[in-house]
Amino acid sequence: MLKGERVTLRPVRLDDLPTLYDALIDPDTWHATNDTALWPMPFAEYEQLHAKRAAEEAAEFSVEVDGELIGRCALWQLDDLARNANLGINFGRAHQGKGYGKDTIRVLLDYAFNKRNLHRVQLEVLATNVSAMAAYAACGFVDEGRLREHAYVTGAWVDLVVMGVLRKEWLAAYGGR
Amino acid sequence: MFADGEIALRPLVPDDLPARYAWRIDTQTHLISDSRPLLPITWERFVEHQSGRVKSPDHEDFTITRGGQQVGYCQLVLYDNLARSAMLGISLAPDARGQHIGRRACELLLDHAFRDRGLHRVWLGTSSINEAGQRAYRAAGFIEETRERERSWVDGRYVDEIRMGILRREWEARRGEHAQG
Repeated sequence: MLKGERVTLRPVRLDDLPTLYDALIDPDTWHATNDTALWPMPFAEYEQLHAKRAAEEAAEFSVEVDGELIGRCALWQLDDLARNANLGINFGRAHQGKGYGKDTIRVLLDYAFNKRNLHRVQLEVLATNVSAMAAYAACGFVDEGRLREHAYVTGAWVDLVVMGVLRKEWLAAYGGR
Repeated sequence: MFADGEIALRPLVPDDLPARYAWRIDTQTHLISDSRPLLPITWERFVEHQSGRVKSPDHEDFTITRGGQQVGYCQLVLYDNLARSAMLGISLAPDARGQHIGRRACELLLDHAFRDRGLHRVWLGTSSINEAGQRAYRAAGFIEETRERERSWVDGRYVDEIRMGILRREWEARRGEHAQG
Protein backbone atom coordinates (compact mmCIF):
# COMPACT_ATOMS: atom_id res chain seq x y z
CA MET A 1 0.00 0.00 0.00
CA LEU A 2 2.70 2.54 1.06
CA LYS A 3 6.28 2.02 -0.06
CA GLY A 4 9.57 3.13 1.45
CA GLU A 5 13.05 2.28 0.28
CA ARG A 6 12.89 -1.23 1.68
CA VAL A 7 9.65 -1.44 3.65
CA THR A 8 6.03 -1.78 2.56
CA LEU A 9 3.18 -0.69 4.82
CA ARG A 10 -0.15 -2.44 4.27
CA PRO A 11 -3.35 -3.17 6.24
CA VAL A 12 -3.04 -5.76 8.99
CA ARG A 13 -4.29 -9.23 8.01
CA LEU A 14 -5.69 -11.70 10.51
CA ASP A 15 -2.90 -14.15 9.75
CA ASP A 16 -0.36 -11.46 10.82
CA LEU A 17 -1.63 -11.54 14.38
CA PRO A 18 0.36 -14.53 15.73
CA THR A 19 3.65 -12.97 14.55
CA LEU A 20 2.76 -9.50 15.83
CA TYR A 21 1.64 -11.00 19.12
CA ASP A 22 4.95 -12.85 19.55
CA ALA A 23 6.85 -9.62 18.90
CA LEU A 24 4.69 -7.76 21.43
CA ILE A 25 5.13 -10.12 24.37
CA ASP A 26 8.87 -10.62 23.89
CA PRO A 27 10.12 -9.21 27.23
CA ASP A 28 13.20 -7.44 25.83
CA THR A 29 11.18 -5.72 23.13
CA TRP A 30 8.41 -4.92 25.59
CA HIS A 31 10.76 -3.27 28.07
CA ALA A 32 12.59 -1.33 25.38
CA THR A 33 9.44 0.09 23.84
CA ASN A 34 6.69 0.05 26.43
CA ASP A 35 6.07 2.02 29.61
CA THR A 36 3.17 -0.17 30.77
CA ALA A 37 3.45 -3.29 32.88
CA LEU A 38 4.53 -6.50 31.17
CA TRP A 39 1.71 -9.00 31.66
CA PRO A 40 0.70 -12.36 30.19
CA MET A 41 -1.77 -10.96 27.70
CA PRO A 42 -3.75 -13.88 26.23
CA PHE A 43 -3.76 -14.13 22.45
CA ALA A 44 -7.57 -13.75 22.43
CA GLU A 45 -7.12 -10.40 24.17
CA TYR A 46 -4.67 -9.33 21.47
CA GLU A 47 -7.21 -10.28 18.78
CA GLN A 48 -9.81 -8.10 20.48
CA LEU A 49 -7.31 -5.26 20.72
CA HIS A 50 -6.68 -5.55 17.00
CA ALA A 51 -10.42 -5.55 16.23
CA LYS A 52 -10.85 -2.42 18.28
CA ARG A 53 -7.95 -0.66 16.56
CA ALA A 54 -9.19 -1.72 13.13
CA ALA A 55 -12.63 -0.27 13.87
CA GLU A 56 -11.19 3.16 14.66
CA GLU A 57 -10.06 5.80 12.22
CA ALA A 58 -6.55 5.15 13.42
CA ALA A 59 -3.91 4.12 10.93
CA GLU A 60 -2.63 0.68 11.79
CA PHE A 61 -0.19 -0.98 9.37
CA SER A 62 1.75 -4.18 9.06
CA VAL A 63 5.31 -3.65 7.87
CA GLU A 64 6.88 -5.99 5.30
CA VAL A 65 10.36 -6.32 3.85
CA ASP A 66 10.71 -8.53 0.75
CA GLY A 67 7.31 -10.04 1.47
CA GLU A 68 8.17 -10.96 5.06
CA LEU A 69 6.23 -9.50 7.97
CA ILE A 70 8.68 -7.69 10.31
CA GLY A 71 6.33 -5.79 12.61
CA ARG A 72 3.71 -3.12 12.86
CA CYS A 73 3.44 0.65 13.01
CA ALA A 74 0.61 3.06 13.65
CA LEU A 75 -0.68 6.57 13.95
CA TRP A 76 -2.97 6.53 16.95
CA GLN A 77 -4.94 8.86 19.20
CA LEU A 78 -5.79 11.10 16.28
CA ASP A 79 -6.88 14.55 17.48
CA ASP A 80 -9.45 15.84 14.99
CA LEU A 81 -9.38 19.37 16.35
CA ALA A 82 -5.65 20.05 16.64
CA ARG A 83 -4.89 17.63 13.79
CA ASN A 84 -2.18 15.58 15.42
CA ALA A 85 -1.49 11.95 16.26
CA ASN A 86 0.95 9.71 18.10
CA LEU A 87 3.35 7.52 16.15
CA GLY A 88 4.34 4.03 17.26
CA ILE A 89 6.48 1.23 15.86
CA ASN A 90 7.10 -2.33 16.98
CA PHE A 91 9.38 -4.76 15.13
CA GLY A 92 10.26 -8.33 15.91
CA ARG A 93 13.65 -8.74 17.58
CA ALA A 94 15.29 -10.28 14.51
CA HIS A 95 14.41 -7.19 12.46
CA GLN A 96 15.72 -4.49 14.79
CA GLY A 97 18.86 -2.45 14.11
CA LYS A 98 18.70 -2.79 10.33
CA GLY A 99 17.51 0.71 9.42
CA TYR A 100 13.93 -0.39 8.78
CA GLY A 101 12.80 1.93 11.56
CA LYS A 102 13.85 5.15 9.84
CA ASP A 103 12.45 3.91 6.54
CA THR A 104 9.12 3.15 8.22
CA ILE A 105 8.99 6.45 10.14
CA ARG A 106 9.50 8.43 6.93
CA VAL A 107 6.73 6.57 5.13
CA LEU A 108 4.40 7.05 8.06
CA LEU A 109 5.16 10.79 8.33
CA ASP A 110 4.57 11.25 4.62
CA TYR A 111 1.22 9.51 5.08
CA ALA A 112 0.40 11.63 8.16
CA PHE A 113 1.11 14.99 6.56
CA ASN A 114 0.29 14.44 2.90
CA LYS A 115 -2.56 11.91 3.06
CA ARG A 116 -4.16 12.69 6.43
CA ASN A 117 -3.44 16.44 6.50
CA LEU A 118 -2.10 16.39 10.03
CA HIS A 119 -0.40 19.42 11.59
CA ARG A 120 1.86 17.56 13.98
CA VAL A 121 3.01 14.06 14.94
CA GLN A 122 4.40 13.20 18.37
CA LEU A 123 5.65 10.28 20.38
CA GLU A 124 7.07 9.36 23.75
CA VAL A 125 10.17 7.21 24.01
CA LEU A 126 12.02 5.75 27.00
CA ALA A 127 15.20 7.73 27.66
CA THR A 128 17.07 4.42 27.78
CA ASN A 129 16.15 3.64 24.16
CA VAL A 130 18.94 5.71 22.63
CA SER A 131 18.87 4.08 19.21
CA ALA A 132 15.15 4.78 18.78
CA MET A 133 15.65 8.43 19.75
CA ALA A 134 18.44 8.73 17.19
CA ALA A 135 16.20 7.25 14.50
CA TYR A 136 13.37 9.67 15.32
CA ALA A 137 15.75 12.64 15.35
CA ALA A 138 17.11 11.59 11.96
CA CYS A 139 13.55 11.72 10.61
CA GLY A 140 12.93 15.27 11.84
CA PHE A 141 11.55 14.76 15.34
CA VAL A 142 12.58 17.47 17.81
CA ASP A 143 13.26 16.76 21.49
CA GLU A 144 10.57 18.66 23.43
CA GLY A 145 11.59 17.71 26.94
CA ARG A 146 11.40 14.80 29.32
CA LEU A 147 8.82 13.57 31.78
CA ARG A 148 11.02 12.76 34.73
CA GLU A 149 10.80 9.23 36.16
CA HIS A 150 7.48 8.74 34.40
CA ALA A 151 8.02 5.06 33.62
CA TYR A 152 9.06 2.11 35.77
CA VAL A 153 11.06 -0.42 33.75
CA THR A 154 12.66 -3.59 35.14
CA GLY A 155 13.42 -2.20 38.56
CA ALA A 156 14.13 1.47 37.95
CA TRP A 157 12.35 4.69 37.15
CA VAL A 158 13.13 6.00 33.69
CA ASP A 159 12.44 9.35 32.03
CA LEU A 160 10.11 9.50 29.05
CA VAL A 161 11.36 11.75 26.26
CA VAL A 162 8.69 13.62 24.31
CA MET A 163 9.43 14.31 20.63
CA GLY A 164 7.37 16.07 17.99
CA VAL A 165 7.57 17.12 14.36
CA LEU A 166 5.46 19.83 12.75
CA ARG A 167 4.05 19.71 9.26
CA LYS A 168 6.03 22.82 8.24
CA GLU A 169 9.28 21.24 9.42
CA TRP A 170 8.53 18.06 7.52
CA LEU A 171 7.64 19.96 4.34
CA ALA A 172 10.78 22.09 4.59
CA ALA A 173 12.93 18.96 4.88
CA TYR A 174 11.14 16.54 2.55
CA GLY A 175 8.17 18.35 1.03
CA GLY A 176 9.38 19.28 -2.44
CA ARG A 177 8.54 15.90 -3.85
CA MET B 1 -11.60 16.03 54.20
CA PHE B 2 -8.48 18.20 53.88
CA ALA B 3 -8.19 21.85 54.85
CA ASP B 4 -5.76 24.75 54.78
CA GLY B 5 -7.49 27.55 56.68
CA GLU B 6 -10.70 28.45 54.87
CA ILE B 7 -9.71 26.40 51.77
CA ALA B 8 -10.84 22.76 51.90
CA LEU B 9 -11.24 19.68 49.72
CA ARG B 10 -14.26 17.42 50.16
CA PRO B 11 -16.04 14.70 48.13
CA LEU B 12 -18.35 15.73 45.31
CA VAL B 13 -22.07 16.01 46.21
CA PRO B 14 -24.97 16.25 43.71
CA ASP B 15 -25.62 19.89 44.64
CA ASP B 16 -22.18 20.77 43.24
CA LEU B 17 -23.20 19.86 39.71
CA PRO B 18 -25.13 22.95 38.52
CA ALA B 19 -22.12 25.21 39.18
CA ARG B 20 -19.75 22.71 37.58
CA TYR B 21 -22.00 22.60 34.52
CA ALA B 22 -21.90 26.39 34.26
CA TRP B 23 -18.08 26.34 34.28
CA ARG B 24 -18.03 23.47 31.79
CA ILE B 25 -19.81 25.51 29.13
CA ASP B 26 -18.17 28.85 30.02
CA THR B 27 -16.04 29.81 27.02
CA GLN B 28 -13.33 31.57 29.06
CA THR B 29 -12.97 28.62 31.42
CA HIS B 30 -12.81 26.28 28.46
CA LEU B 31 -10.05 28.35 26.86
CA ILE B 32 -7.62 27.78 29.71
CA SER B 33 -8.65 24.37 30.95
CA ASP B 34 -9.64 22.10 28.09
CA SER B 35 -7.91 21.23 24.85
CA ARG B 36 -10.88 19.24 23.56
CA PRO B 37 -13.43 20.99 21.34
CA LEU B 38 -15.91 23.32 23.04
CA LEU B 39 -19.20 21.43 22.70
CA PRO B 40 -22.81 22.46 23.44
CA ILE B 41 -23.15 19.69 25.98
CA THR B 42 -26.65 19.47 27.46
CA TRP B 43 -27.34 19.45 31.20
CA GLU B 44 -28.84 15.96 30.91
CA ARG B 45 -25.79 14.60 29.16
CA PHE B 46 -23.47 16.32 31.65
CA VAL B 47 -25.30 14.73 34.60
CA GLU B 48 -25.33 11.34 32.90
CA HIS B 49 -21.61 11.59 32.25
CA GLN B 50 -20.87 12.59 35.86
CA SER B 51 -22.95 9.78 37.37
CA GLY B 52 -21.67 7.24 34.86
CA ARG B 53 -18.09 7.99 35.77
CA VAL B 54 -16.38 5.24 37.64
CA LYS B 55 -16.21 6.17 41.30
CA SER B 56 -13.05 4.44 42.35
CA PRO B 57 -9.83 5.13 44.20
CA ASP B 58 -8.25 5.48 40.77
CA HIS B 59 -10.43 8.43 39.85
CA GLU B 60 -10.51 10.89 42.71
CA ASP B 61 -12.69 13.94 42.46
CA PHE B 62 -12.71 16.67 45.12
CA THR B 63 -14.79 19.79 45.39
CA ILE B 64 -12.74 22.82 46.46
CA THR B 65 -14.48 25.05 48.99
CA ARG B 66 -13.72 28.43 50.50
CA GLY B 67 -15.60 29.10 53.70
CA GLY B 68 -17.79 26.12 52.87
CA GLN B 69 -18.78 27.42 49.42
CA GLN B 70 -17.83 25.52 46.27
CA VAL B 71 -15.23 27.49 44.28
CA GLY B 72 -13.90 24.75 42.00
CA TYR B 73 -12.85 21.14 41.79
CA CYS B 74 -9.68 19.12 41.48
CA GLN B 75 -8.91 15.56 40.49
CA LEU B 76 -6.29 12.85 40.60
CA VAL B 77 -6.79 10.58 37.60
CA LEU B 78 -4.88 8.26 35.27
CA TYR B 79 -3.38 6.34 38.15
CA ASP B 80 -0.42 4.31 36.96
CA ASN B 81 -0.03 1.44 39.40
CA LEU B 82 3.33 0.40 37.97
CA ALA B 83 5.13 3.76 37.95
CA ARG B 84 3.10 5.00 40.94
CA SER B 85 2.06 8.23 39.28
CA ALA B 86 -1.16 10.12 38.63
CA MET B 87 -2.33 13.20 36.77
CA LEU B 88 -3.63 16.24 38.61
CA GLY B 89 -6.40 18.41 37.19
CA ILE B 90 -7.97 21.53 38.65
CA SER B 91 -10.59 24.06 37.62
CA LEU B 92 -11.67 27.19 39.48
CA ALA B 93 -14.77 29.37 39.24
CA PRO B 94 -14.03 32.56 37.29
CA ASP B 95 -14.52 34.74 40.37
CA ALA B 96 -12.21 32.54 42.47
CA ARG B 97 -9.12 33.08 40.33
CA GLY B 98 -6.12 35.23 41.24
CA GLN B 99 -6.42 34.61 44.98
CA HIS B 100 -3.94 31.72 45.42
CA ILE B 101 -6.80 29.25 45.87
CA GLY B 102 -5.40 27.10 43.06
CA ARG B 103 -1.98 26.84 44.66
CA ARG B 104 -3.42 25.96 48.06
CA ALA B 105 -5.77 23.35 46.59
CA CYS B 106 -2.86 21.82 44.63
CA GLU B 107 -0.77 21.64 47.79
CA LEU B 108 -3.58 19.88 49.65
CA LEU B 109 -4.03 17.42 46.80
CA LEU B 110 -0.27 16.77 46.54
CA ASP B 111 -0.08 16.11 50.30
CA HIS B 112 -2.85 13.57 49.82
CA ALA B 113 -1.21 12.00 46.75
CA PHE B 114 2.18 11.51 48.36
CA ARG B 115 1.16 10.95 52.00
CA ASP B 116 -2.04 8.90 51.66
CA ARG B 117 -1.56 7.28 48.26
CA GLY B 118 2.20 6.71 48.39
CA LEU B 119 2.75 8.04 44.88
CA HIS B 120 6.18 8.55 43.33
CA ARG B 121 5.18 11.31 40.94
CA VAL B 122 2.31 13.65 40.09
CA TRP B 123 2.10 15.36 36.73
CA LEU B 124 -0.26 17.63 34.82
CA GLY B 125 -0.85 19.13 31.42
CA THR B 126 -1.72 22.74 30.72
CA SER B 127 -2.02 25.04 27.77
CA SER B 128 0.84 27.52 27.36
CA ILE B 129 -1.69 30.38 27.40
CA ASN B 130 -2.78 29.52 30.94
CA GLU B 131 -0.02 31.57 32.58
CA ALA B 132 -1.84 32.04 35.87
CA GLY B 133 -2.23 28.29 36.12
CA GLN B 134 1.48 27.75 35.48
CA ARG B 135 2.38 30.26 38.22
CA ALA B 136 0.14 28.41 40.67
CA TYR B 137 1.59 25.02 39.70
CA ARG B 138 5.17 26.29 40.05
CA ALA B 139 4.34 27.78 43.44
CA ALA B 140 2.96 24.38 44.50
CA GLY B 141 6.25 22.72 43.50
CA PHE B 142 5.70 21.56 39.91
CA ILE B 143 8.55 21.83 37.42
CA GLU B 144 8.02 22.35 33.70
CA GLU B 145 9.22 19.23 31.90
CA THR B 146 7.98 19.25 28.32
CA ARG B 147 6.65 21.81 25.89
CA GLU B 148 4.91 20.24 22.91
CA ARG B 149 4.93 22.81 20.18
CA GLU B 150 1.57 23.66 18.59
CA ARG B 151 -0.05 20.64 20.19
CA SER B 152 -3.42 22.27 20.87
CA TRP B 153 -5.89 24.33 18.87
CA VAL B 154 -7.34 27.07 21.04
CA ASP B 155 -9.72 29.73 19.78
CA GLY B 156 -8.41 29.96 16.25
CA ARG B 157 -4.71 29.30 16.69
CA TYR B 158 -2.17 26.71 17.65
CA VAL B 159 -0.67 26.93 21.12
CA ASP B 160 1.92 24.85 22.95
CA GLU B 161 0.98 22.24 25.51
CA ILE B 162 3.09 22.10 28.66
CA ARG B 163 3.49 19.20 31.02
CA MET B 164 4.79 19.67 34.55
CA GLY B 165 5.75 17.21 37.25
CA ILE B 166 6.74 16.88 40.89
CA LEU B 167 8.54 13.90 42.38
CA ARG B 168 8.07 12.47 45.83
CA ARG B 169 11.53 13.56 47.03
CA GLU B 170 10.79 17.14 45.93
CA TRP B 171 7.53 17.12 47.87
CA GLU B 172 9.38 15.76 50.93
CA ALA B 173 12.03 18.49 50.66
CA ARG B 174 9.31 21.16 50.55
CA ARG B 175 7.69 19.70 53.65
CA GLY B 176 11.03 19.79 55.45
CA GLU B 177 11.47 23.46 54.58
CA HIS B 178 7.98 24.27 55.83
CA ALA B 179 8.61 22.41 59.08
CA GLN B 180 11.82 24.37 59.66
CA GLY B 181 10.39 27.67 58.50
